[in-house]
Amino acid sequence: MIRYLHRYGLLSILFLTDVGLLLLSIFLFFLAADYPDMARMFPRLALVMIMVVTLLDMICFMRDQEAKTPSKEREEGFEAVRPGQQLKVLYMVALIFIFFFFMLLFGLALGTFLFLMLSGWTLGYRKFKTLIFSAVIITAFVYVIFRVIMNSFLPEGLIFSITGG
Amino acid sequence: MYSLEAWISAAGIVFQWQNMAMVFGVSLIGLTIGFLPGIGPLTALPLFLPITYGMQPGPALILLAILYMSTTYGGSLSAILLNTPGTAASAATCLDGYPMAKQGKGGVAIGISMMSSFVGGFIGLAGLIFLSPIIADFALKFQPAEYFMLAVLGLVLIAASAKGSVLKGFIAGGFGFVVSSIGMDMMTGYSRFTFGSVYLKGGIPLVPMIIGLFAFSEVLALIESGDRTISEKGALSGRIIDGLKTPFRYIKTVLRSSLIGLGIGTIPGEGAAVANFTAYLAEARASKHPEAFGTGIPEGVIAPEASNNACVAGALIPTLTLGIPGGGVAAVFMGGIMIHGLNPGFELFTRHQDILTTLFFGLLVANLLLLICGSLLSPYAAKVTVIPISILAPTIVALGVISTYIMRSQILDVVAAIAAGIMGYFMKKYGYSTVAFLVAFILSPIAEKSFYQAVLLADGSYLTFAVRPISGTLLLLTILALVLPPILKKFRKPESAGSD
Repeated sequence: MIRYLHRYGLLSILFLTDVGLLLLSIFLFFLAADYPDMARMFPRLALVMIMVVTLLDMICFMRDQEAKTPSKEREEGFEAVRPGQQLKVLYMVALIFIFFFFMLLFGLALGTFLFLMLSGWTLGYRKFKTLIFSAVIITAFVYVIFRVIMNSFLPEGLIFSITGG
Repeated sequence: MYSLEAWISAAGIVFQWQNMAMVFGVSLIGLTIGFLPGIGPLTALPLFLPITYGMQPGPALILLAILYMSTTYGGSLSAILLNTPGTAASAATCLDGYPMAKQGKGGVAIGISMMSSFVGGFIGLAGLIFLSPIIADFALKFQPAEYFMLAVLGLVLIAASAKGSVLKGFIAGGFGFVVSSIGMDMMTGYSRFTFGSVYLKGGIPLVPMIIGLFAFSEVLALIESGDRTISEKGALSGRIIDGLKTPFRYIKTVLRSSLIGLGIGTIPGEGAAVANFTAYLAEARASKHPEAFGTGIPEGVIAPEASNNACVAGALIPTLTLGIPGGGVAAVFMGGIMIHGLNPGFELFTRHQDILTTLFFGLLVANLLLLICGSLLSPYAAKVTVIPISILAPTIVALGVISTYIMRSQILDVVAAIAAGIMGYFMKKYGYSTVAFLVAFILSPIAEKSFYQAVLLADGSYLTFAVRPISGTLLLLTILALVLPPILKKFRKPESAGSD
């Protein structure tokens, strides 16, 4: 059984992605069933198209696997990724949330500065002086553009409003 | 059409030192703002609208129009250097501009972009000045059936030309359509796919989607690549001056793309985002080596750049002549006209010709100034490619988060951008076209609304799309776009096999 699954690439992440998308589109198709006619027609049409095309993609994939001629594009997602790099991607996603939290807590300028320092260090930059210098320059640029020129509304910093600073 | 005296008077106003300083200053600000990922004319124009209150109508309209043009220029720089279009109008520029930057030809790509934008902008302005009555007349013939077919044709062209698998291009486009339908349905008011969320009722806004799909996903891909910089030191050997000369070797491409941009700009709702992709695809289809598109070739930069700047002028045609804004930015521009007590349309062209000629002259001067400023300042912008990724990536993130937040001061917009970023990262990783997704996301509301309006106007008959001359032609083109590529591929295969 497992051999059969491997032969047609049915355990490959690309095939499983197609399966996931197919299931998602089926779920959304039935979710839209209760909508009024005019509200459901277009999304359902798109979902049917997705289902048909996904099935075609799955068939093509299985055919390619059986013929052992994986096309270039199928390998694209699996270029060798250095160990630790994927962990850094996860760190970055977490850092984006942390930045927003910093901005709310410390305001635009200090929040941006702290975020740039923290993320530069986390991503492996170890020249501390350059890091501080670049963080100061970029923060000043961001401040001038968003606060001075565009006069945008941005968080002042919760910590400063509490302390009255 | 416009008298010589009117032009001389316009030159007198534009060349006043205060107005020249304004043109220069606003051009620089626009270039900088456009460079910021996700911040485009639609963000910048409303913020500058209050500044124009106390100004004379002519200079006020020049300020807004230059801001529109310069942000579009600036957006191309980040598209080329960071693979992050500053605006949706530059999204297609990424496809060949970024590979050129990676090959160490960032300077050449910027030069190409600047000159193509200049020529495209000039042709667009010429169209605005001389052809506006004729083109506006044609755009008036477009009814919902035509808008619908145009949107469908756009979707099919984008999905079919997706890099890699065409099937995955269609899947991405389909999901772009579904994601765009999240929120309150415009025809019935019914909430679709909101899962009870109040935020989702308003739909997912475009800015977080663009920033997430292009800026954040690119940041994640950059980090995963493990590279130290985007381009190695010294690799920025490409000279801007070489790039400035290049478009003159592709005159046909420049003209074709500028005319596409101008034409699309005149159609309300079809903005520069559609124009740059349409011109890119038209160029790829017309090319003898379509497979080279996406690898970093000059035509791939010329086409979107000439078209998006021509489109800026094109969008002003229906705005000024008919009072129908060509897009979101043109709508803001129309607001700028109206707050000065002017009414777009017949009255503007008859009673306020002096203001119009001042605007046109100011735009011609600004177009030239942008070429000079852009070419002089771009080498400094190009330095970003040698900045360490561990510094550059957080900088893009910071700009993206702030840009997303300032649109509506909504925390959930930032969350939406992050979600779009993660989605975009996986889409790129597994070969699903983010471009097809975004274009479908932009076009689907137009398509859906136009579809229902067209059917209602035709008393429920779906045949309206086939029997109306323009929509019928567009339908035919859509079918050809679907059917022709596989047939041509079959015919070409034996040839290429032979050559191999």
